Amino acid sequence: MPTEGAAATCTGLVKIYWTATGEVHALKGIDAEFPAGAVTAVVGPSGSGKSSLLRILAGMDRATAGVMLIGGTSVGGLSRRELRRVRRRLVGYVFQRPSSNLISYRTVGEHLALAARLRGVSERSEIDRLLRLLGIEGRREHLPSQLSGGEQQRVAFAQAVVGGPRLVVADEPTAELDSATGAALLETVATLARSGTSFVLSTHDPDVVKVADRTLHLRHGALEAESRETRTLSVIDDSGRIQLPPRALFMFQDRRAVISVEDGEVRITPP
Amino acid sequence: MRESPVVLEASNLSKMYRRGPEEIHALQGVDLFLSAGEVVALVGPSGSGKTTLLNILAGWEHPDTGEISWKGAPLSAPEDLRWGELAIVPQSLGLIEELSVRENVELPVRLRKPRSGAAGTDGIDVDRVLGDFGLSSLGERLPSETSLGEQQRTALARALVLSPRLLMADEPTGHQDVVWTRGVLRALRGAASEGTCCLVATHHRPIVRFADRVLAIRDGRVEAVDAADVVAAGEEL
Amino acid sequence: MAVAGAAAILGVVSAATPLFLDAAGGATLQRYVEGTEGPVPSVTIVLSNVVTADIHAYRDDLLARELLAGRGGADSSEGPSLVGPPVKTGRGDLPVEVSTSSGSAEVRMVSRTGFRDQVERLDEGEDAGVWLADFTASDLGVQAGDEITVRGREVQLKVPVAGIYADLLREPETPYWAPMSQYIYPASGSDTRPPALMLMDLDLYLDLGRRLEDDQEVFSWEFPFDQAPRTIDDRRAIAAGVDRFHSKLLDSSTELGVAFDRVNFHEPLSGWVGQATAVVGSITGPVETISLAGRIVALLVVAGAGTFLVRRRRVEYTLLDARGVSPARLGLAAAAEALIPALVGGAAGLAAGWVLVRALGPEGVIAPDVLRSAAVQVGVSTAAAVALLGVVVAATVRAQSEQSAHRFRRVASKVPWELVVLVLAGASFYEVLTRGAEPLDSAGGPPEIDRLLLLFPILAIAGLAGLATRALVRLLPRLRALGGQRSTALYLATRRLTAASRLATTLVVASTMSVGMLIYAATLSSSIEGTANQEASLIVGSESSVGFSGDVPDLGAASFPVTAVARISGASFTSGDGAEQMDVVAVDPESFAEAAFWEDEFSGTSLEQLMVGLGSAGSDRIPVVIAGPAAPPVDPLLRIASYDIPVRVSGAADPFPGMVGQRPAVIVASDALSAFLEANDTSLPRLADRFELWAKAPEEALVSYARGEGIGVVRSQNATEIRSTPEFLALTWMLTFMQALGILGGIVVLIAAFLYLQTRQRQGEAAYALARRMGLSRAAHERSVALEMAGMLLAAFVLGSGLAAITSLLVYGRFVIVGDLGTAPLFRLPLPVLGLTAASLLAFSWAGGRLVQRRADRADVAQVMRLAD
Repeated sequence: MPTEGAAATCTGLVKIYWTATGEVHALKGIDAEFPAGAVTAVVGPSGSGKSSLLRILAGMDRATAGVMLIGGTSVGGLSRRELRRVRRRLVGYVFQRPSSNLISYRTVGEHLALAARLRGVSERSEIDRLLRLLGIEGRREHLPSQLSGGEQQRVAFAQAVVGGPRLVVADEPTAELDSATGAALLETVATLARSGTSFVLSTHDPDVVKVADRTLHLRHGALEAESRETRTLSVIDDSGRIQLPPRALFMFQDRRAVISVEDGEVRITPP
Repeated sequence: MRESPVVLEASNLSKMYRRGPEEIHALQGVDLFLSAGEVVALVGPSGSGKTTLLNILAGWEHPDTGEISWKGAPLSAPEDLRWGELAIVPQSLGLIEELSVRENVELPVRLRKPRSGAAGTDGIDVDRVLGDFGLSSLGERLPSETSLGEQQRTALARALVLSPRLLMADEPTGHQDVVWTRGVLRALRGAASEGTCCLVATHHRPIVRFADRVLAIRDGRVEAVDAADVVAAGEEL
Repeated sequence: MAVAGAAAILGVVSAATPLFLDAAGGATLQRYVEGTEGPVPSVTIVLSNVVTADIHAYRDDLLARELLAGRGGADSSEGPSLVGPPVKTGRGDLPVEVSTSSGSAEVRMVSRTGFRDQVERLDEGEDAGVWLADFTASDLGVQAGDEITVRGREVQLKVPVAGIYADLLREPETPYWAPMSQYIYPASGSDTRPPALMLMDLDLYLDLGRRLEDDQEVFSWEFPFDQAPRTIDDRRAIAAGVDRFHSKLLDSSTELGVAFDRVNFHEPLSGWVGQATAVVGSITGPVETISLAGRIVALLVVAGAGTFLVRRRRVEYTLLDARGVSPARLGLAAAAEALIPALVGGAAGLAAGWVLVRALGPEGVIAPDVLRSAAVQVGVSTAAAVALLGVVVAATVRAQSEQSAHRFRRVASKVPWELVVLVLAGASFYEVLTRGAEPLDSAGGPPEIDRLLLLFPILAIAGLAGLATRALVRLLPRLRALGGQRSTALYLATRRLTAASRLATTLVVASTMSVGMLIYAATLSSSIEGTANQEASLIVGSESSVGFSGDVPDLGAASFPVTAVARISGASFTSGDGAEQMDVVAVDPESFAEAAFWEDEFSGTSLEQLMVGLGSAGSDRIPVVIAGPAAPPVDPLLRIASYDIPVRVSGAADPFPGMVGQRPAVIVASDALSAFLEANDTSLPRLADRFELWAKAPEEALVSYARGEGIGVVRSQNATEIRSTPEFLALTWMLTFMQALGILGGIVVLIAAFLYLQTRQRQGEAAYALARRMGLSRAAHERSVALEMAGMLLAAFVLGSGLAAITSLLVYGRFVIVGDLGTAPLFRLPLPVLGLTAASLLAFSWAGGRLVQRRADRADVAQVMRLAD
């Protein structure tokens, strides 16, 4: 149930895409909420649908079915132009590889100025503040090739965050960073989240999970579990399906089980 | 303690280059050795000179000072080492776009000068290598049709297909999930058990824990460190 | 860079068309104006009147004021001058008798401006007087300085002889004397020559005329047109000015009209201007079609450059799209960026087009405002190219956005444009067939080159090229398995080819089209030229010929093959089936086979055999060869004038040199015919229209030989000249234009291909560096690139040439240029052009490999590896 102030909500999100070798069901009906001002991590093995979910969140792809609300607007029915507007104003996206977030012949300052313009803000002070916050003010006139990987990623985040969008989506942002830089980046993310921006980060990195307020566990295109702080809760979807963890699955070779409900407990046993 | 033969030894490597007005001392008197059959992790923050060191060991850059020896003999041109001796997985992967995954992995087999005079697979089981890296079902796809993680594994498979004496990999697990990180480590261990020395530049903790030795590079200098210390202290990787 | 190049080519093409057309118009007209035979083109005004010197001077003055001073501008006050100073002629209508004590002769009194320089002066005195032809002088027994008596109707005058000149009859006709040729040369069919001309200055002529009270005088003024090269617009202005003068001349309310009351006025220029305009009009359609095709090829390359640009800036565009920048803005930015290079390219193209047209095209002068309109066209094309680039970039970005993360091979686009194009091609061909119009309708005037005849092959080649390439691409994955078990170069090349990218297939289609256009035009050109050559040679009889009257003397030895021929028209062939009109060509069997034009296809029997057959004695029937499509009649009788000659058919041929149009002819041995005629109290010279010498030699050589043998040459011609009709030239120019465009298109495509290779190499530098370590030799890599290029280009070459050959096969028969001889048009494949094209494509492949390898060698691997850090 979407709560007030959720940055984004998806209900029954399905994504199927067609390839030369057949259909791929990337998302099989995801219900999730991304609260405002929070950091949500999305984890799962490759092929679990993380990237697809993030792209839909960022307005870069359309779901095949289901509803995705970003800032209260359902993006599924938007025209291309309106969707572009969503990408400009409401969400920011950070690509996996630092080099993909930057144009090789523009300086850091120019990158931020362009991003700010697209967002509709023009105050130079905002840009200055961000640069300071991310510790890269000295790099304003530098080209991307003159920055280290960590600095490049920080610029990428700055671009995504300038002008205060509702939601910033980042795909494995610390994958190519060493842990010190990664940690610094995550600290910044946390700081920015406190000022109201929501973050959705997909990752394999346990450090990211530590920083997140909530973690969504995806497996095979479905939401298997949700963690908050130290508790991990399995997710039951609308039709009552739940995913067993892999080691439990091992017990049910025939894929058949007996479910008994009693005493406020559900027991699942092999037949 | 060296139990196995030394494959590569470097002494007093230095490299300085200019970036605009700045002088950057990437390496300052680096000494190291690599033995057969071990997995060595090279750790260090970005900007520490990791890539420069790898470039020099690969022969793509030449040090200002210092020497490298290969199997005991001085090596002036590492770039002349064949793939069966030294195989490389750079961070950019360098896969050939027009060859399928299988063809990419097979390429070193095709291209090497046949020892016996007959071209061919010469006893190398490419399918097994593909299987080890979970690429069996992707054999006919072009690299652009696979995910970054799969491409990374393709590059690794390609590097290990000839069982080289030394494998140098720069961040080979960046795009792997937990399962395949383990898979990659398994493959590295397998190669090491057959004599390949694996030098892996990484900041990924599982590898550091997994490695036989850890070399830390910082501000252009390299020193051997204890893996446990590195991990436990939350040291900068 | 590619944009600039494409824009340049676009510029050339756009500019070339109007420049070419204007030059063609000017050149056509120039050919007419310069004229190869006959009189100098002039405005001719003829008056039959008795005049005094004063009246003549008055009229002269009037003409000088109105015509000589006239100008081509709108109000006759500015613009090019209309004509040059006139040649004035006075001629006695009837001959007069001149005599001396030794003899008498008949002469015609003639005055013609500047005659002294137009005759060979044999003897010259100092006094004024008349000039006599040498044989007249010898008849009269006079020399320069003597006196002769001129007898008028009632009066006799004594006139001094100022000089003796060489008989004009023995010289071939010059443009100066051409207007008087009927007073110099005997009429056809007649042996007798006209009275020799007694030449004198105008004042003497007027004086004598007055004193002799000769009232049969004809005066003419010939105002020559400027023969220097001029633009067609200039000539139009001149023609208009002359026309204005003509109206004044006819208007009896003007002074001019009154002075030239009953006048004969003739000028050829208006007609020629009309014809030249029509010729230009007739090729305008096709030229514009070709130019359009060329522009499309160039625009295709621009479109390719657009997709290429997006590919190169993949990261940037993906990023901006993710940021929500609209594709339209990206397209606009790309277009703005391309503006400067495009303008530079366009300007360069305009200059190149100008140079090209001057160098390769017709030698007409080009008007300055044509240049202006060419510049405008270039501007428009450049703008279109830039706009197209923007659109393509925007469209490509749009298509790539909102795609799933895994990008898989795109299924080919839904509606194949090729089908649409092919339908159009089929439609145009069908139109041509049903319309049935000859592409060159020479009946009413200059030819109408059917635009569709050119549109059809261009469309067909484009459509078929697209389809064939598509089929190839579908086939390629099967071919993957082949190739390079042993050769690494081949292995890599086949892999690259089978991973055919959009851009690669576009390049193949574009190069196929270029090759197709080139080969198509070259095939047509060589076929038409071969056909025209054949037709012209058939008309002339051999390489060159001279015509004369009088009998053939015994010919002395010549350094080239030469034969004598007599021609009779208006004969008929009677047989059981009726009578048929025929020409008779009487030949000398001994020398004919060597000297005459012949192709083996003309007859089942060799020419030598036919000649032998002609000479065979035997029955009392004279052997003849039937030339023409009709079957030989039975028991024929040859009727010439009133003589019936029994003949038998000893051979047949179709066609035969000397035939006129499609009229059948009878070939007979001269001596056999002569013998028969003499036995019947007549002779060949009496019946023959004319005699000719045919030779395998240049015209001048033949003429001097003939004169050396004492032959009075009246006409001479050569095959090259005959076939160089303005119609033929227009067609040839047009085909040359098309070939040039094909080559230009090919160059653009090759440059684009090369740039594509370079960029691809740059993007694959890391992969290349690693492959080198795996054992890839530089040579193998270079070879693989060369092979890949060669594969693509060879496919384009085979496809393009094949398609061109097929389409030209369907079309070549429809061009009839020289005359309707009913001979089968020839189909000639342009082997030199084919060979050259294939060789240059291979050379480019090799060069491409070389250059890409150089790029690869120069890469700084360390930098490449570092960039990914």
